[in-house]
Order: sequence, then structure tokens, then C-alpha cells
Amino acid sequence: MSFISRSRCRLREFCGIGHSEICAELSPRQTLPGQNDVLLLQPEGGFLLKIVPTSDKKYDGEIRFKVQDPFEIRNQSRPEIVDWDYNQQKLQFNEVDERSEVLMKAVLPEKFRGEASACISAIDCTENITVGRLPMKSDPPVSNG
Amino acid sequence: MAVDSVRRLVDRGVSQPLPTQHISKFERLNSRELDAVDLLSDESPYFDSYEFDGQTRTYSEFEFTTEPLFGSPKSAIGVLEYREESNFIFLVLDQDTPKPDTIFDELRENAGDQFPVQGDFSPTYENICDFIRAADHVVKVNTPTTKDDPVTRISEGANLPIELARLRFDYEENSKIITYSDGQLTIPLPERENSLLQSLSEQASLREYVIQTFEMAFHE
Repeated sequence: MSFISRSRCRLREFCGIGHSEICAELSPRQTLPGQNDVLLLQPEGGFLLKIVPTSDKKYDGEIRFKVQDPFEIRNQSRPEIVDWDYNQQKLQFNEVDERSEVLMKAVLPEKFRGEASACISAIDCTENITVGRLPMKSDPPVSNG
Repeated sequence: MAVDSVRRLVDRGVSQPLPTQHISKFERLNSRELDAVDLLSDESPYFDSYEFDGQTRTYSEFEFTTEPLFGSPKSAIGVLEYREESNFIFLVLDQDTPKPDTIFDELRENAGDQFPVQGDFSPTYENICDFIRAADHVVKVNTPTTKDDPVTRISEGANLPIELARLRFDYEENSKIITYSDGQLTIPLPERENSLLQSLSEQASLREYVIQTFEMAFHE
């Protein structure tokens, strides 16, 4: 594991996010100007979930996403060793032994379009521990005259 | 330009008819049904044959009326294409609103078990990269995870996360650039003298060739 990954794990433990068999990092693909750590939804926005096992053991487990209503999480694509359950908002990892990256997106359904803020939590279901968070903001409604 | 949004039915291998009656915000207009004919065997540089030769392709033109919280209702005309053996559904719209997710969500909520559409489209990296490898030419791919040339890596067999792929497909005398991004295909259609329904439901066309390639790359 790289120094950066170890640092992130220690930082999470220090901040009280919890200890898990994995490190998780949620990287937004679109951000607001000047707010590089906030995912921008227009009305959806992609993010990359990176999972790194913290030990030599292979990781078999589930990551569940939790967001405030009416936001929801969808998968864009995934490695073959990862399954996605849309109804449970859950990723299933099968024997991950190195970094695994999954392309996800957060969506604000069209009928709720408007300016709103929320936070995505990624929860390791085995330990019921939050292993990553990502704040997000949907853009103001676009005026079409 | 018409955009195809992709979903699958939940029960794979179980043939389901498209909903026929008026449901919720859908008004069914016209429909057309024909059998798929293998276009890949003679043309594809990647797939030797087409696995779903003879499957029924059903096209259903509909009018969808939105009910916004403010303002008057708005209508859009689109086409749902259902391919019976591969269980793929393509929602074809040539306008920006309503969003495809809005229409799929409405279909899921109201057609229910009669036509069980999956909540989202979740392909593997291998599915997407097989589709890229099956193109005649790769114009561009965007990936968030590598600085190395992704086109070369994919051609050498790597399966990468892809956010966008612009690909050229050649079929007979036709050659078009199509775009795949997040479960959506943008396939230019010929200049239309006919309705969207008629343009989509030709027996052999570059669009049908791309769709057959897509089914082969993405089927499970």
C-alpha cells in the first residue's frame, strides 16, 4: 500500500470515521469552481470510488451508499469482480486484493431539480462503518425563458 | 440528434411484450415488429457472428406528457425498442426533455411486473471495452484512471473504466461517428423523410449494425 493510502486510512481513524478492512476514496468528476471536493450535479454528477484493502487479505464485502432523499446513487460501470445492486444501493466486492475503482454517479431526479446540498456516505456493511464521504451540490434551476 | 438510452429487463430470457395499454403518462401511438437478421457475420472486424439472429425487434412509438410542478404540461414523442432475446431496451428520444431517467422511472413504477425494467444500466469495464474494440476506428476515449494512452491499452486487451468513447463504425457504404457515454448511445440517423419510428425500424442499417455490435459486447 502506498504512503498516501496509509495516510488516508490513519486520517479517517483519527477523524473518527472508523476502522475497516478497506480504505475508500470518493473522487468527484465535476466540481464547483473553487470547491474541488464538492461534487457538482447538473442534475447528475459522476464520482470514482477507489477501494484499497488495508491488509494482505482479499476483501469480500459490501459497500452501501447512503444519501438524503430524493438523491440517489447509480452505477456507470464496474470491474468484473464487482456487482451492483441498484435497489439496495450496494456494491459487492469479490476477492479484491488490490486497488479497485468503480465509476458511480449521484442523481437528482428531474422533478426535484433545484439548488440543494447533500452528502454521500459510503458504508462498509460488514462493520457498519462509514469509510468515505463526499459532499455534493445540485445547481440552481436553469431558466429556459 | 436522436439519443438511445439503454436498460435491460429484470428477468433475462423471459420474453415480455411491450405494454400495450395506456399507462400513466404514456400514450402509445404506433408500433412495428420485425425479426433481426445477422449483420455482423460479413461486416464485423471483432465478432464472428450474431448470437441473436432471428429475435423479435419491437418498436413502440409513444407520446409522454410531463406534469411539472409549475407551468403547463409538456409532451414529447419517443420510441421504445425492445429486443426479445437479448432483453435490451433502447429508449430513443430526439429532444433533451424529459430526461430518459424520468421516462424509465415512470415505466418502472407503472408497468411493474408486466414489463420489469432494471433501475439503472450497470455494464462491466470489459463490456464497454469490447464494444470499443469492435469499432472500425477509435476517435477518442476518456478514462479517469490512467495517463497512459487508453486507446493503445484497450487495443492490447486492457479493460478500463470509460466515461466517454467516440467510435467510427462502417457498414456497407455508410460510415458514422457514434458516441457511448454512461449507458447512452448517440447514433446519427439518415436525413429523415419518415417518422422516427420508421427510421429506426429498418431491417438493415448502420444503426442496426451498431445495435447488434452493442448487444454482443454487453450481453451477459
